[in-house]
Amino acid sequence: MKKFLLLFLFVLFHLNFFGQEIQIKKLDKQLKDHPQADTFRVNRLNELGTLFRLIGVSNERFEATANQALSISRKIGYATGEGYALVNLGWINSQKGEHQQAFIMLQQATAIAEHTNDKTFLINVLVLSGWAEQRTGELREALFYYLKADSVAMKLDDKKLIARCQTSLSSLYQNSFGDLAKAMDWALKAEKSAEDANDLRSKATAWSAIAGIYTTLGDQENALAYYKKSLGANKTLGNSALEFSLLNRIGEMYRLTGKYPEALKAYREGISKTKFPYNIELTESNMADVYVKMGNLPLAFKYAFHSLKTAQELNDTEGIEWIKSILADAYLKENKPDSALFYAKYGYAEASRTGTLEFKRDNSQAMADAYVQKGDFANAYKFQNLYIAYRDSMSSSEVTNKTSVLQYNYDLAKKQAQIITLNQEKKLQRYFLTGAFIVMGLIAITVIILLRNNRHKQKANVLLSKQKHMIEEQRDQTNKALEELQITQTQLIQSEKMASLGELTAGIAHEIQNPLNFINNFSEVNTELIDEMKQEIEKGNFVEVKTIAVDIKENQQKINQHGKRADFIVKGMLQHSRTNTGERQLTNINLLADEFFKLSYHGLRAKDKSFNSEMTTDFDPNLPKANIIQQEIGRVLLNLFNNAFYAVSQKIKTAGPDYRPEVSVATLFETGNIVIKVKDNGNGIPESIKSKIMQPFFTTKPTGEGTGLGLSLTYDMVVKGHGGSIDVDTKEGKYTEFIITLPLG
Amino acid sequence: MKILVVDDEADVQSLFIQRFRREIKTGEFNFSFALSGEEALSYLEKNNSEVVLILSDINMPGMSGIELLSRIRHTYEKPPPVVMMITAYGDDENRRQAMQNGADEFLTKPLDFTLLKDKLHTFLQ
Repeated sequence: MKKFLLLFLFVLFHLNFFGQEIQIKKLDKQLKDHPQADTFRVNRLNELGTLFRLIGVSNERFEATANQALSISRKIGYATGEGYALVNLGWINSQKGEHQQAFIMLQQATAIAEHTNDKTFLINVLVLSGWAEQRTGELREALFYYLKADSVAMKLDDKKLIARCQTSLSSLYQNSFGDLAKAMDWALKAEKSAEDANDLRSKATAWSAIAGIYTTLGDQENALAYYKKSLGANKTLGNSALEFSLLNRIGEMYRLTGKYPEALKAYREGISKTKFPYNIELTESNMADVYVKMGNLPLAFKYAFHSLKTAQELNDTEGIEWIKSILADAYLKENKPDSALFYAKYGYAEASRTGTLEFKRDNSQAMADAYVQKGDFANAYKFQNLYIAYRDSMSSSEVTNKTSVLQYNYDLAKKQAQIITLNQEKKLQRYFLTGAFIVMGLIAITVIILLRNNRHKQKANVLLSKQKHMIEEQRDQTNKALEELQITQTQLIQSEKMASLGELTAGIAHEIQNPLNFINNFSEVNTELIDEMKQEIEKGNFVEVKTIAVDIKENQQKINQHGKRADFIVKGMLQHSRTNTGERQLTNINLLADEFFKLSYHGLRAKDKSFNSEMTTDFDPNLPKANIIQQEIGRVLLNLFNNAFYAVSQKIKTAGPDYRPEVSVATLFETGNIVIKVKDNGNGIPESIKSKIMQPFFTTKPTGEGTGLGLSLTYDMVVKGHGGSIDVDTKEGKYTEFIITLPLG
Repeated sequence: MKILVVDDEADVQSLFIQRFRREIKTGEFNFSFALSGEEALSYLEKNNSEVVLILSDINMPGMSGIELLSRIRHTYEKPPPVVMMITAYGDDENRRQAMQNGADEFLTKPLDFTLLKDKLHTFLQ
């Protein structure tokens, strides 16, 4: 069985035998057609040599081919060609047992590989060197070469080559060191690399290696599973040579687990895939064993004798030992202890010579059983003890194997647990990192949003403060304008007052002179009268004295009356010119109206000598005194009179000589109110401007003549100042009448 | 001698009567009064031949003294009465206007009766 395993390993590196036959023929023809000593011929020769090597055929023709390639390469200085030729020759020498020669050639090939810096080639040379060392039992050297190859492959990062190196390392540990744990370790690494390379051939090789290790461990179930995987892969690849080996192994697994029909089926299929006599011998012997176990002794003998014959022809000692133990079992089952003993003895002797424990055990058991059948209990006891010893020895090695694997599995489980833990930690770290990134991202987004909002707010604030500033400025300007307007208004009112005062001045002069005329003259008359009265007193004519005294008194009253009149005029003028508003006082509206009527008329006449107008007064003698601001109502009346006189004066300019200008003023007491009516027969007020006459600055006078404030101020003083009302009755071209209604106050 | 005094102020009548008390007593002057130009004209219409001299105010409501003067000068050519204007406005413009319309004299208020009497005597002689 051990021999088989080694062979099996070599086969692993080989390619499709049938496909290679075609290639060999093709290369032979090319070489025949191309006798020139050049690189083409060298390459063809090397390809042919490599094919022989991979098939495992070591013959003279292969050697001649390799030698020819070597000599031509050296002649033409073709390094690569020389390298491949040397590899092939190294292999041939190794196969021939010329180990020293093989190593020299492989070292030369290594040098060339390093010189040409062809890494792939170097790895091939190193693996082959390791294999050669392994063959000679130089296991440390072999390990060195395999590891070196592995490290070069790693650097090259060629997964396929890495898988090949790892498989080689696995086989070294399994078959040479017997360290199944490490062998499994490397085999699993190889499987991983093969999967990474996604190379079916590499995978199949790795699976076969794993299956082999499980076989050695006695774990047929797992072994069977991996063999089947490998078989499927090799079928896909069309590797019929490997198919046989795998089918044989599958059969073995079934055989060892007692599944005989399945075992036979696998063996039969295996035989159909091979032509090699050794393979047939091996399978037939295995089938013989199965038939023995099944109790089908005729078929058992048939296959056993047939395979024994082949084994003897091939000089397969191990095979002979194995088959003889089968025959011994078969004869035992046929109750032919002598025949059984014959084969068992022989097998035991052979096994003892070769030191194969398995067959020593099987044959010693067969002998013990045979001696029992023969009644030779002494020998039976002897061989039974031997059998037990061999069995224990074997099982102890199996136990050791299994223990080491269990240890390995324990370590592996520990490592896997660690890996799982690490992976979980990594996962957690990844989650943490991812989470941290998301959080940071969110923070960044938030920050950006906040910054943007802040900027917008700042912009808005700037805008708002600008607008605020503008509003404040506008407010200040408005306030300033308002102040200016108020000042202007005050000035305007003052100028309106002064304007009307100016109109008054002329009238005042006249109106003062009139009372003065009376005062002066009546006082002079009185002086004369007093003189006359004196003379009459001296005469004693007292009747005359009395008459004179009455006259004097009358005159004195007149003087007093006209003095008051002058006083009234002057006071009115002063009040009119004052800016402050006056106090309310009980006033005779009739007197007030009469005075301002005259003042207004004379004022106008002072400016225009040609002007004249009828002046009609109709004062209600029973008019009660009103509590008014005399100054303001005086101005109201003056303003209305002025307007009335202006209106008639304007009409004089256009109307014919028949026009009699007339202004009238009337007072009356009506429902508790004092009513003053000022009427003129001027042009009237057109309907279009009637609504505007109370507006400030509205005037029909030429620019510069009127302020346009007269009626506006009149309105304010009557309505706002006294709670009265002002109405207008007018007919265009005919008349205008202003009606002032004042409460008594 | 008939003198017509035209003035819108009623107290003027009382003043003239007292001032010319002696002349009235002796019958030297005989006074009539009118309170407006219109009233003066209607009086003249009735008593045309009687009136020798007219004293008139200028600033009066309705017909002014100047207008009255103008009317008298246009209406009564024979015998033309003496017309004296009495006004509170003693300015040149007023005076010029009065003279242009044929006033014989231009007097200002307050009226100086001594001066007035001299003027009257002068015109009457």
